[in-house]
Amino acid sequence: MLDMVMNVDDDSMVQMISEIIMSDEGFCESIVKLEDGKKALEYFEQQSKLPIEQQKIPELVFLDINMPIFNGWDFLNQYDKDYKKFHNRTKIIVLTSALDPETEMKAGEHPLIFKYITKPLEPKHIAQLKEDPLFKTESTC
Amino acid sequence: MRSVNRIFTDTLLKIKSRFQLVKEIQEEYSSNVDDIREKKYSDERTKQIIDNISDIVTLVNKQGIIIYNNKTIKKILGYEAEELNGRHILELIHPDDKEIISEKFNNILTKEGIDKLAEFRFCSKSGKYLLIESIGNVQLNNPAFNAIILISRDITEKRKIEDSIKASEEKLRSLIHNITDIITIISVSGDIIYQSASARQLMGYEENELQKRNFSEIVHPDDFPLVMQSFKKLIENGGISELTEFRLLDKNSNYFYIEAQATNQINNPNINGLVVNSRDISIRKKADEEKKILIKELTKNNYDLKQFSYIVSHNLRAPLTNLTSMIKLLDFGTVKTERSLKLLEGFKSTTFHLNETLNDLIDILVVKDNLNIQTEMISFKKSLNKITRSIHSLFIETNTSISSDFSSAEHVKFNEPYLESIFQNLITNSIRYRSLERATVITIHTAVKEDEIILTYTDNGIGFDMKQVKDKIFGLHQKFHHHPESRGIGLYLIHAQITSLGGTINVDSKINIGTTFTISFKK
Repeated sequence: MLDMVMNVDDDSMVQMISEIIMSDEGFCESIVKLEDGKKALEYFEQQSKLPIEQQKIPELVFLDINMPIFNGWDFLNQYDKDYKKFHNRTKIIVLTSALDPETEMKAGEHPLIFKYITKPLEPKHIAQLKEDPLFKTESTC
Repeated sequence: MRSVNRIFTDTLLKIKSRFQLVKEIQEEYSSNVDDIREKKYSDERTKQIIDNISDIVTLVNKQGIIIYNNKTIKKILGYEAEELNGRHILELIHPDDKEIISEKFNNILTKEGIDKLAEFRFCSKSGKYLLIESIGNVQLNNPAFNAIILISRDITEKRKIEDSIKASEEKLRSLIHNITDIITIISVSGDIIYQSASARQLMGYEENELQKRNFSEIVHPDDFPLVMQSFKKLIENGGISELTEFRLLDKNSNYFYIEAQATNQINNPNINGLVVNSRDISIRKKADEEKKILIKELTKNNYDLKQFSYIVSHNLRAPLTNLTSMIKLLDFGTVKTERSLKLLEGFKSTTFHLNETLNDLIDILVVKDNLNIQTEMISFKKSLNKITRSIHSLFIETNTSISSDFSSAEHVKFNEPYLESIFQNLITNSIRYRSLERATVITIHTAVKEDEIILTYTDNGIGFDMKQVKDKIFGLHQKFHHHPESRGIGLYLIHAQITSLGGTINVDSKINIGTTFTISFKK
């Protein structure tokens, strides 16, 4: 089980569904729910000021792309520049309902994006992630 | 006979240009005139020469009676030299020419010496009139002759050639006058040597008004470098220039677009310049401009619409996926009343239906938008199996079976998801519109035809009336059955998928017998 998952999405329904599925699947201990890219960056900013042992860094971020003000790409750009120290500790999954091939291609080429999932998030996605060695090893540690 | 010789000599000399033998005769006689010992010889020689020149020599007395002809008349008109002696000359002249010649004859009677050339038709021995050109030398007062000397030749052929040259010149002239293209001849220095009459219609200039002006004066300054470049190139390389578009100044100081092509005819002595063939293209140019603007507008509209559809589909899809997820997560077992359960079931099926519709629309959007779909060799059998596996339970529920034969063409160069979508849509359609009176049987087979692979798909379902739907069947939202699940998108989608990769799809159907789809793929 993961310690912490971050959900960045402006749609509160998506937040609710993801939370239910993850809790049904017993995927993680806690979920941080943030409504846009800006809030997510602020979270990392706060954590980076804390001593390492107090930091609460999510092992996984579900990132929506289409969000008002500060979208998924904006977040990724800033996160890439300012929070390199967290890159090893956090995997990012893009979770979006955008179906245009360009977005998918862009996501596929982005070095920070671990996976691209088209909404809706389903129990099978979580089940697959649980089987992924990356998370398995971490959860046993 | 000395004076006879001299007069002959004079006559012949004066029309020297026409008679090549003259000089020879003159030399012969001027050197020998006083030599009496040579006289006899001379007479004979003169006679010989006269009989052998290429023109007819005739002596006519003042009444117009022929008194002498040289032997040349035989060659030209067919008469023996003496045959016409004693005949009146007018007798043999064409009736239409008689009057003029008679008048002329009367006129020259009062004169002495060489007259002007005359033309008339003269009757030959065979009865055919020949066109004769004749010159007279009046020697009525000369006792040696007391006659008019006529020297004549046949100009029938010459006239024919002249006439045909004249006719072809006239033809060319009227051609140049009547074509709408402007023909301009420009010298090496760029001066206009000639411009056809069409210049008046198109440019307002009178024919040859621009003569001696330089073409640089009428070419638009912005276009001049281009025109000059092509002009220089043509002078250097010869041949024909490329078709060039540029603007010319008309008489009212407006520029208009022409399209011109020039030929280098500098070495042609009749032309000594560049022949430029140009035509007014201002109407075409204007239409081109309008077309460009229209294309720009359409491109923008198209782009906006595309963006709009993405946004709409995204904005619809986001809440819809939430609904779908929530329905799936909902535990129906915990619902207390039957009424609520019914409503929730309705809510569920409506949501799924809406979701499928939206997914289809998005699929179409993606197919329509994506011009670079990747193709590879795909196995028909593999694609079909993938689909039949995924809807296996449906086959059992509906008592449907498929028989396929891909032995003629096992593979096709196509896009794999597209081929799967084609099978998926055709099969679900066949099941949806199956006949309840018989077990549903679908047969699929392939064939190779020239550069195409043909896939024939047949079912034994309820079919439809071809007359009603022929042109609409592959259109968007064309539903031909009052079937609750029918969304009218499937055939449109596969049509788009097939045609986007250069294939075609055709349908034939008979009510209550079944439907056949024939799909051709590019090989």
